[in-house]
Amino acid sequence: MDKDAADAPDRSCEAPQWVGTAPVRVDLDLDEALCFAHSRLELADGSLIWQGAAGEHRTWRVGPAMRLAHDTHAGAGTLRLEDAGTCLATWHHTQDALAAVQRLRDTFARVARGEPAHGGGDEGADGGGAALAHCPICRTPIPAGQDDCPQCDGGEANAPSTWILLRLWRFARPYKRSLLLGFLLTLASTFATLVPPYLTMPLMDRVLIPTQRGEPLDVALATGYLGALLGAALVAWGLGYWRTYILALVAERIGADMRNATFSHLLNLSLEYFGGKRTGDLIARIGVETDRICVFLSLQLLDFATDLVMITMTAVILASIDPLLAVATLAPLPFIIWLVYLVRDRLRFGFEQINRTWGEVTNVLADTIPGIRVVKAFAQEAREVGRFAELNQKNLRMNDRVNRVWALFSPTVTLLTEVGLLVIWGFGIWQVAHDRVSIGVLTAFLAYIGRFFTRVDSMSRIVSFTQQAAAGAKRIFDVLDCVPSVPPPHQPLPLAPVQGRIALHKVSFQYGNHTVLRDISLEIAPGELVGLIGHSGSGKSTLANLICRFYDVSQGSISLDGRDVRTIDLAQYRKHIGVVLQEPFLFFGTIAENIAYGKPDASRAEVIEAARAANAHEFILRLPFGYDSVVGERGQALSGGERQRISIARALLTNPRILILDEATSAVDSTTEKEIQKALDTLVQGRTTIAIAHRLSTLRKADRLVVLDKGEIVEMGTHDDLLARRGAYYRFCVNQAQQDGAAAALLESGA
Amino acid sequence: MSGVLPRLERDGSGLCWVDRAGVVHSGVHLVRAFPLTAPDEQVSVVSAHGAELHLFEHLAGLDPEARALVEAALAAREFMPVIERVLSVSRHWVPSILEVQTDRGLTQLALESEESIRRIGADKLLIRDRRGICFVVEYHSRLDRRSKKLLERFL
Repeated sequence: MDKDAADAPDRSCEAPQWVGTAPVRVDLDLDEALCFAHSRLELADGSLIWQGAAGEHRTWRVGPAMRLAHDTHAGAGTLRLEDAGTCLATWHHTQDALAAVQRLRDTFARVARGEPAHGGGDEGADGGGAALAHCPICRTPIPAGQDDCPQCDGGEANAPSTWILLRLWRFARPYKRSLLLGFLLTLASTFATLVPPYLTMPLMDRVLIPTQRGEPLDVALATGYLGALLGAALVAWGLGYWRTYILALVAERIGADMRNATFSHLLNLSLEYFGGKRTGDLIARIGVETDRICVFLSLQLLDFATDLVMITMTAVILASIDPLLAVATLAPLPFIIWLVYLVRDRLRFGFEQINRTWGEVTNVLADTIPGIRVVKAFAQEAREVGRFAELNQKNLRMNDRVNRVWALFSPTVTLLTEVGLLVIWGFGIWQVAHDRVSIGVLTAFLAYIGRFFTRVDSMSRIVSFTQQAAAGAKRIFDVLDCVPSVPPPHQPLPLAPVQGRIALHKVSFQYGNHTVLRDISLEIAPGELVGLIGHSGSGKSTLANLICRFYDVSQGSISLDGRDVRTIDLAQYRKHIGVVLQEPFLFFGTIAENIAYGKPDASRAEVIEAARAANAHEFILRLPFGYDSVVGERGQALSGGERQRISIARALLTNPRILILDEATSAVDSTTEKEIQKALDTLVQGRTTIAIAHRLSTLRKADRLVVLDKGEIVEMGTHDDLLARRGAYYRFCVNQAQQDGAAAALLESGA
Repeated sequence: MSGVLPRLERDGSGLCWVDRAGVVHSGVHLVRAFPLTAPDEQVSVVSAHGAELHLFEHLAGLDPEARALVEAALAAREFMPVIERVLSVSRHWVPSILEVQTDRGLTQLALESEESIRRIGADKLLIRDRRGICFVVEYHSRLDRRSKKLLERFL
């Protein structure tokens, strides 16, 4: 396995160098019985050569009727060599060889067609193994500009590098003056705190000891030294206050900038990103991680800097007073450093575990609270509590493990400090006895070393804090480094008054490696009402999402009034689109704010106008505060139909040229449906509308119906046309009529 | 037929609305569409069945007589005591009972949670008590020091 891991990147580096007849090689890692074994497949000089582990080999001359078929199942890929439909050979491989296998297959197809093995210019970029980084875990090429593997989010498995903290400089740059000032203040205040121990030296030697010997007390000198001590303490206090204040201020601002940057970047990411992430995790990233980094910058890093300055200064001062004693004093230091190094890895692992558990705890909250109705309906409160408690238990376990190391660590440092003091005492007494140093010097050393080791102790804590902050920074940069998959146009042209003509040209869309839409071509005239019909999973909603440009097409193009939507500024484009979704989402705020969401400067009269058109005005007036009533996150106080009508008013107010109704009436009962339908009828007038519906009755006014199946258009035409054709649409109608018939029968039997 | 000026009138049981066709709808009531953010705009005349009969865009635009009638009718239905002073609180965390002086007299306000206090605009507060009564603080910044200090803990 190791040998393979070491070899693989090398080979992918070789790949771009093949030109003309250079061989394309694939190292297969499974044998025919799907056992792990190595063999090699090579395409060179128009022949496919297989070479087994034992040196045996077979060769096939590539003919025009030959093809390499490839598919993957359960992690193993199968490559089949076929000649005019008959299978000549079969090979298997794991995911590791996937990229190489695909290259081989493409080259093979070209060779079989009689083209040169080396394809067009883009092939080089595609196979450019040297330029592309590979994920260390799953070996998927990582797109340029991204840290993480798109396949396995591999970074999580590695310890985040501490160096990532340097990237925080991007946020610190605007504050570099304050930071510099803060650093200078740190130096100055640290220096001020080191003055008092220094003064103990003359205080001892020139005041105390002479006095003890019976000489008269030099009051002026004593007062001078005491005054200097007080002065130093006051200066240290003032500078310390100033420094802490300035740096804390800067750190808070850096934290706020980081939160803003992350949130605004997050909101600009496409829906695809949100589809794959959990709410709790994202909330934790923006809330907790930025805060942790903020605390790290404002307190811990600051302390660390102070400690470092202090230790260096102390060492220098000690050495300047008495080098030999200084060496004895600093003797335990390497031992402490070694200790720090020893616990670092254990701590880092522990803290990462804790962070991840913490993310999971947030996830449970973010899952359970919005889903509270489901939880209660299925009486699963106890289970959710259990799940939460279990994660908390895990959190405790992780904490306990860290604390076991941690608890031992601090006393050990203290012990070493005591030992250090003992060494100084012993060595100092011996030196004093031999008259090599004065008592004052010894006292100063003892005063210094007390501070020194508390600093070493606190400095060693920085290890864990740094690890925590680095883990946090990584999770932040994960978001910031993610490139939106719906890129904004480089030079958006201003949008002329929109007619509302939408044209889809050979549109295909893949989600992951699953093809959702295939080769869809559709022209929608301005003002036309087109109904999309199909089973769930047939791609209706995806089509609507593509038109909204929530995603970009994989192949083909979508244009508005003849312009490719990818050349239009996204915000401008979406301004012309109104969307009414199956599950209307209302934000926390008043009804008026919710209706005016797409047009915050709308007047009250406009809001009422829209609500009236959406058939919502009168029920709103019945609420205790009318349009000023607050609706919650999930609009608890309102019924589904009421929420839907508010969302229709919201779409109406922006007066969009294009309207997308995604199952707008499927979540409500038939009475409400009628009310909503009334509101919708006003809404669709004069607008290009794409309506998706389960119930065919809601599409009765459609100018044209499009029937989708498995991502393809199977039928298109008016209701009457399609009925006459007796195809898919006809079957839909019959199905629904049967259901309605069943309902009618139920009524009759009841009567 | 269509020459009748639509208007609001007082009748035996309360208010009635005479529409353009001269039809009299009795038992109507008035509803402010924006009772908190714009109480004097968009006042709706609603029939006994809940259907809107008319909408006054601005009360200021009415003639004084009609306006007096509208305001009297609105005042009769509205109950939103305005807090003038906070005298004491039972404790500084929720749930707490606030002794308040309002424009409608002295009363006790049982505050259940911090969410019961809602900020409207920059300076206005709406406090719902346990009984469902909404108290208003018109200008939070203009309250006396003590009241402000007492309220601050819950904001």
